[in-house]
Amino acid sequence: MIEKEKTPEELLSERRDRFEKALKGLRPDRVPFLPLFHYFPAKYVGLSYAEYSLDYQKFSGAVLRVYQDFDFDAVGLALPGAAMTLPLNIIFTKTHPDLAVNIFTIARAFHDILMDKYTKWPGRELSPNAPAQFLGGRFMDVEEYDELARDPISFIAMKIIPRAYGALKEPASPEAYGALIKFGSESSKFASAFMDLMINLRKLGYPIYPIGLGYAPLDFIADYLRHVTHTLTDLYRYPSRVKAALDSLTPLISEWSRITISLPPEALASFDVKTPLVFIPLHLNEMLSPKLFKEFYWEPLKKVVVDLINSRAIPWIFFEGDYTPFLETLLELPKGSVVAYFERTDLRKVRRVLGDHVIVMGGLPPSLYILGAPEKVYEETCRLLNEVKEPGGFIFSGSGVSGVPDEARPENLRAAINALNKCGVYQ
Amino acid sequence: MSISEAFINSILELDERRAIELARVRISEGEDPLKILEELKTAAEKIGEKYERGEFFIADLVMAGEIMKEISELVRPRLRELGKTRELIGRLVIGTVEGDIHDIGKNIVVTMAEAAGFEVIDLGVDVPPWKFVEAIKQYKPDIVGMSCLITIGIESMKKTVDAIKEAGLRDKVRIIIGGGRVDEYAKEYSGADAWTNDAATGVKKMMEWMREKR
Amino acid sequence: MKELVDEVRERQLKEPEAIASERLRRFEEAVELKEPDRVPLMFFTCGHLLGKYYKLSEIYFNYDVAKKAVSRAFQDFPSDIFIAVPAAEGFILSLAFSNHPDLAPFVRFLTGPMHDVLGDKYTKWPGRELSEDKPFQFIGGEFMSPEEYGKFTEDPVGFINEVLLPRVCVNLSKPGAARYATLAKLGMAAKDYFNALIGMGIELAKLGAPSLSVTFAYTPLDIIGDFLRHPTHVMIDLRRYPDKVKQATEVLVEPIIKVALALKPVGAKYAFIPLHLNEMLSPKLFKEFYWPYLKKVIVELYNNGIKSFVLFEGDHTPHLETVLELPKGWGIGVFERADIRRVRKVLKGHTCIAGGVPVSLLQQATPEKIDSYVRELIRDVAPEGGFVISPSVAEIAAEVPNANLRALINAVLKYGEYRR
Repeated sequence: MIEKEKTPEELLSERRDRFEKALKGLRPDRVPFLPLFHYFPAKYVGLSYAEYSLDYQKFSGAVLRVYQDFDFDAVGLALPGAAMTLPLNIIFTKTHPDLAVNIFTIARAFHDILMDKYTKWPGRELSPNAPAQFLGGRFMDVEEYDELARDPISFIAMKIIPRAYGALKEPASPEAYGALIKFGSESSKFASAFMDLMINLRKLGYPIYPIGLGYAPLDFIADYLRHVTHTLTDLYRYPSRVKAALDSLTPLISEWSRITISLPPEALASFDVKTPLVFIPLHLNEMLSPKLFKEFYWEPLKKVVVDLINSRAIPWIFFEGDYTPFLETLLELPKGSVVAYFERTDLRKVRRVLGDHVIVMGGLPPSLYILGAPEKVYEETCRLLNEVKEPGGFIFSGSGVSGVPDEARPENLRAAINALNKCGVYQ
Repeated sequence: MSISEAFINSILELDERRAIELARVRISEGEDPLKILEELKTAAEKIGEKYERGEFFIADLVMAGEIMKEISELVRPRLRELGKTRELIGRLVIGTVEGDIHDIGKNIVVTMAEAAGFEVIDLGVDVPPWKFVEAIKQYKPDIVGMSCLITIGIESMKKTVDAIKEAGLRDKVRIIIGGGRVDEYAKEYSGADAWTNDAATGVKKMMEWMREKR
Repeated sequence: MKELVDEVRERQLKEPEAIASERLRRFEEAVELKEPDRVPLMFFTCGHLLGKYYKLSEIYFNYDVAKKAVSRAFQDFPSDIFIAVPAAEGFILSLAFSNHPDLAPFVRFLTGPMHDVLGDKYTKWPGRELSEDKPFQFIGGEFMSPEEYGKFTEDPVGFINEVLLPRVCVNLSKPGAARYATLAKLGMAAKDYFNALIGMGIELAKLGAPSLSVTFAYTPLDIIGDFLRHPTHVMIDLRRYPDKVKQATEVLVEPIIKVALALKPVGAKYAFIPLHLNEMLSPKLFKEFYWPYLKKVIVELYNNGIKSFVLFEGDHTPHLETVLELPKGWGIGVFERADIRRVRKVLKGHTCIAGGVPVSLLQQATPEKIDSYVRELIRDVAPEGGFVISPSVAEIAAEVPNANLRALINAVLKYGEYRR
């Protein structure tokens, strides 16, 4: 409540210090809250998911309202849907870096334009209040691994894109030309709406920082080329083919990912926090045996992560599911070099294994926000903070999966913030 | 109707097939190729008249030019075989002026002027004033033709005429300007001797000048 | 001494809204073949005029500069209708996307940045292929062989996308990532241009310039001349392959109308149609290959409540009577070199005409000469309304003296009022 009396400028500098200290593994005045949102803002202001994912003004308005009504410490991710353009981004790595970085094209318009087969959307294939969903698909045959390995960009451009995007199935047709042009113009529209949103959030006193995107190479194969199920069987049946494909995809994904954070100095100067964060959501990780994990998943991912660290960025890795069996792998990375954001991994265990080797990020189970009472949320938040906030370098995310759950009760979010203000304080 | 009349008429009627066929027949029958070329000149002149009377349009000029070019190309090898050269009626240096790169109109003039018996030195497009001056010194043409489509060209025409004056060559050549946007004002402004909006009238004017010169 | 034009310049700063509605009414009454309070004055520019203020390479490639230039030009030379399009002819792109009505209108013009993205061979630009102070130029070219007429006719829109554009645009020539990137960037460039146009509209509105709600159409034969075969070759094709050309022309009517109607839902009232081959054709060719299809387009738009705004380039005199075949009040005809008095005589009471002031006159005459020219022009042509005075070509060169443009505006203000 006292916070409200501070000017946005004061809030901004206070929050920036708090966030920056946590990123450095230090103990700020208290634990910062870096929220991620999917559809919570839509629910909060009473928009259908379809409207929220379709209308940038309404989307921005909803997100702003949430940041206005609740106290956070930095602008996290707020995206109105599911990603679907990664193959398109990646093929531009070598020749058109300006298009390769156009990563946050996560809104229904892009689905409507490209007719991708990766995702389904509210108000289109789904009911207006169902969240957008990433399904992936099988767009490549086993026999094509070699072709992928030989020249990933050409293969993706010539083979995968026509198969995965309905509007591009005939790449030289009027439909495809039109779709691509619309894709470009919609990207500009989205980017400018996104930029306006950032500016407005900053006006409310929230620090902003450069954000990029990374991907685990095996996830790219599973999500965008072969489908998760087939990828898993491929690892047993055709390990060398997969390996060869990973060997050629990894440097490409690494390069692409670094492009997403290569900013000219004058652009960098406009951010409050100057260190770029590179969001890397992992998918297959918990599905693999430690042996397969190490060889096919971790090694290529580690390469991408280390390249980013060497480019002075902070990889911000989201460990979907339970990462407990592989926690030790993170010790292979330089100390304090990544933000490890966990979904279902027990944070107490994380601290026991990793100590302060990584910046730890996480929160409470989503069910607590959805079904629990505010008192319970307050209590659990305090308990968590007391157990994991030391020895510093901890970031609160609300909940584990996509930050603040869509169906979270607002009073529960408020309760968590109150708990943060009390139990998140470092003595 | 004599074969010459039939030949000229076929060009004036834009009957490409017949004109070329007649030319082939005449060459194979051993007729003097110079006579055929002479008749092209007559045809060119008549085309100009037709254009002036409003009977011919630019599309007709283009087509007529195309036919005459084909016929010249048919005749040229025969001419070489006989070791003859065509008597030229005059020499024209032509170009689209600086700043303008349009050449449709200029190319029609080139084709028609060649058919009419001019030796044409085509300087191309976006030709700066000094290049016109150099070409006048080198080729000593009777006529300089300047073409432009866009209005910016009128300024360039003035600059070119000025440069020609400065080089002391103004009285050595006649200057004609042409293009979609030129008119009497443009002629006065640039200091040229004549203006035209179309190739046919332009070529006709140039032929008149050559007659006066003789 | 304060001149009439200066009074307008002051007033448009003070009460832009009032003056904008007066101007629009004046224009619309003329289009409806009535006598407004005064003869409306119209200026066009494709950017050349703006070279008075900034380097042309900046105007065409930096929309902020273009916006400032447009605004300065209008403040210096106020008119009733000011149409500023700092871009080149690009209707073929609209046609390529005629099945995407949400896209087609926004790629109607080829801008400098779009040229950079596409690498097209149709146009050349200042600071790129041309020196920095030269206006862009549309060159066109021969991108289809006569043998391909049949293939074109079978599926014109498909042919444009699959065969033509990869030939014309270097950056679309190779499939794969490069082509995808080019198209996505074209979309971005189109969006930027659209935003820039809105920005220009806002700036002009602050100066009391009304905006016309426009859409775009084209003559089928000009599509073939400008974008496929080059005008010179079309003229030969008309003799050599008349049937093929005619069939190709026929199939273009529908997609052209589709493009033009794409903006109907947002209230488009006027369709710009620049004519290119018109004056080059004999009446026989004109009536057979050009006019019937253009007429179809104009009439179809008229039936949809859209008036055509036709730029009759060159000397349209030989074909003037054909205009009478159109329904009365079909639109506006801007005449370039046709004798405007003769045009007036033929079309009076039937067609609103615009033009009358040769650009060469503006460039070379004295202000006094311009004053008397305009006085006589208005005396001869304006009575009974349906006349818009304007320079007779789209491009007013930057070299046109300011005093001459002011003299034109002063003269229209001085002599243009209709006595009631």
